[in-house]
Amino acid sequence: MTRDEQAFFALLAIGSAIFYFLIIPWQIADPDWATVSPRLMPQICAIGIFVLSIYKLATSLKTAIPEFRVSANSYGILAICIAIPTMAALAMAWVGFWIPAGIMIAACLLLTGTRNPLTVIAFSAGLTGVTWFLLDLAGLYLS
Amino acid sequence: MDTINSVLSQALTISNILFVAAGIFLGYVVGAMPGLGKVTAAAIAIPLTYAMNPVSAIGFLVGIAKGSTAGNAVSAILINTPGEPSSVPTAMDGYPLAQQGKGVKAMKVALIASTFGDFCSTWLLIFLTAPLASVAVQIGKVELASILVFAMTFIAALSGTSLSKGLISGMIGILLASVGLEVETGTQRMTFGSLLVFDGLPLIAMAIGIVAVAEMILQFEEHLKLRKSGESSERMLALSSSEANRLSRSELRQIAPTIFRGTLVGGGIGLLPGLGAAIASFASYGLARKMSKNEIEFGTGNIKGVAAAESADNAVIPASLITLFALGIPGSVIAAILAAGFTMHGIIPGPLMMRENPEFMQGLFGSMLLASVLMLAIGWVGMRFFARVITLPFTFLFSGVFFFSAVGAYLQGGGVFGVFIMSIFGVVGYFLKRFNFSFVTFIIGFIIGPQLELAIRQSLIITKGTSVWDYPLALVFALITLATILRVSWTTVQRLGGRTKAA
Repeated sequence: MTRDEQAFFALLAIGSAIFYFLIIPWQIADPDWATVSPRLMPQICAIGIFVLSIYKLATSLKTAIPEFRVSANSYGILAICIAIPTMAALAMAWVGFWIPAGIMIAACLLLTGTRNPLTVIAFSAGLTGVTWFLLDLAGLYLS
Repeated sequence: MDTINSVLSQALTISNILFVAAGIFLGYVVGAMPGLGKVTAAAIAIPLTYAMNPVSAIGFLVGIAKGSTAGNAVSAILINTPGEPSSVPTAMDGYPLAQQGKGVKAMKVALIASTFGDFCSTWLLIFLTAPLASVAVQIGKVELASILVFAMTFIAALSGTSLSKGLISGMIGILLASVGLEVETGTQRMTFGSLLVFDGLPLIAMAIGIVAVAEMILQFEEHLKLRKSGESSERMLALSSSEANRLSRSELRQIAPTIFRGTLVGGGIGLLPGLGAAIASFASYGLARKMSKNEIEFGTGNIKGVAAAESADNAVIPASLITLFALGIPGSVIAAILAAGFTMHGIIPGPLMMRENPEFMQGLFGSMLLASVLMLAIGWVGMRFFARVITLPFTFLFSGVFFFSAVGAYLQGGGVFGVFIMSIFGVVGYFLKRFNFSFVTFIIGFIIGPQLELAIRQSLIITKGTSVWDYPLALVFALITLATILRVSWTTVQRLGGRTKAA
């Protein structure tokens, strides 16, 4: 097990404890008339995740290899890749689906190394247009 | 005979044939693309079935699943890049065959084996679902709770690298499934006051994020690494049309027993939840190798190796649907994705499906048989076209998958909210895959979570004032669950002990 896996298990343990002690009592009421508390299942899961994460963490300390499998570069790639649909979703709230979706395709093409502007424009406009046409034929409207 | 007629009449309508054929074609194209598989294809395609009737919709999705499983063999054989782990054994003999100029022959063998495995396994599904479902409807709530806990543990133990990691992902899935309004009291659970999650988190947007988006990010990392090291990730391919690619009758006779054995292995393994296609194809390949007189020829371009792996790989899909149809438990991730498709069309997978929707079930079975036949026809005619698909540059693949993921998440996830959920779960999926957590258990946990909670809730009420001996079946499953956990824990302790000694 690597260092970042250990950190991940530690985060899971802390997260499940936060769920158990803060989020569940705050976000789930416990009405008197309930035959079984609505908190029961989330609590069982939070306890289970906590116990197993601690177990994994404890066993990993015996066999840990001091290295990071996920590099800082990987986190950067992840952040950029997720930023694209997230930004597109933000824009969709204002201008509808299709224009941000087309820009998202163009951004993905640029990110993965396509530099020819004609290819970028043709592919993003073509894919968006064809999909819009097919969905329209099927009676599905994305506003 | 009447049932068979009814099954066929439901399936053999023009629109249904076209949708199933479209599913097979699309599945084949996606399957042929390196790194993409049936789960990604089906997850993205579910929202597109919104306007179809249920039989055609599920037929389309089943077509995609079957087509992409068969299509995976194309990239495995021609460029030694299996789209899914289950195609690794196919590449072991398929790629050497391609290097010898017999790539088309290997693809023909793969297609025939895939079709046979799939067709026979579909019949297994048809014959076993009804009897199993009739037994399942008699199962009480206590027994159901026990079976669901056992299924989760079993899947967690077998579908990933570690039982505890599997259980953690399953429990995260169940925890997230509890978001929304609680059934009994109508209490809000972890909604943070948002109306958008009153019905729970959108499963399809979530599945698309975990499966498709996360996979694309990981592939992009690989693509960058290859580019950095100076290797090209674009694929070249040479298809010779020589006599060497003809498949003779004697060769067909030679591979027939291997295909038959592979089908049995795949069907048997598919029946057990969580084992999956990879184990089936490796087991079948191993068996074919063991039973061969020329064991040494395996790995150097033996068509029996391709036949064994592909027949088992494709036989798993229909068989893994048996537990979904009969018990409501998805036996594999593709079954879980299809379960989402069923729910979208107002059909709850489980033992009552046969009783409540007999016409739908007949149509579905007919569509599945039709898909097997169409798979052979489309695969054979389009073989050279599908082989060209693998040369599609990564940049178009990446952009296309992101775009269709957004379309799917937007359609089925409540608009913009769905795209946000897709992005968030893209990150979750990335970490699950990076740290070898089973995303299969996560999705299955999310799907069976509400059913499990209800069963536990009812069990707690029913069992008040009764003895544990009143529920022998539940007790048996509880003991098997405990035994599974102890067995896996003991193996881990032994492994750790061994490692400490070695150090």
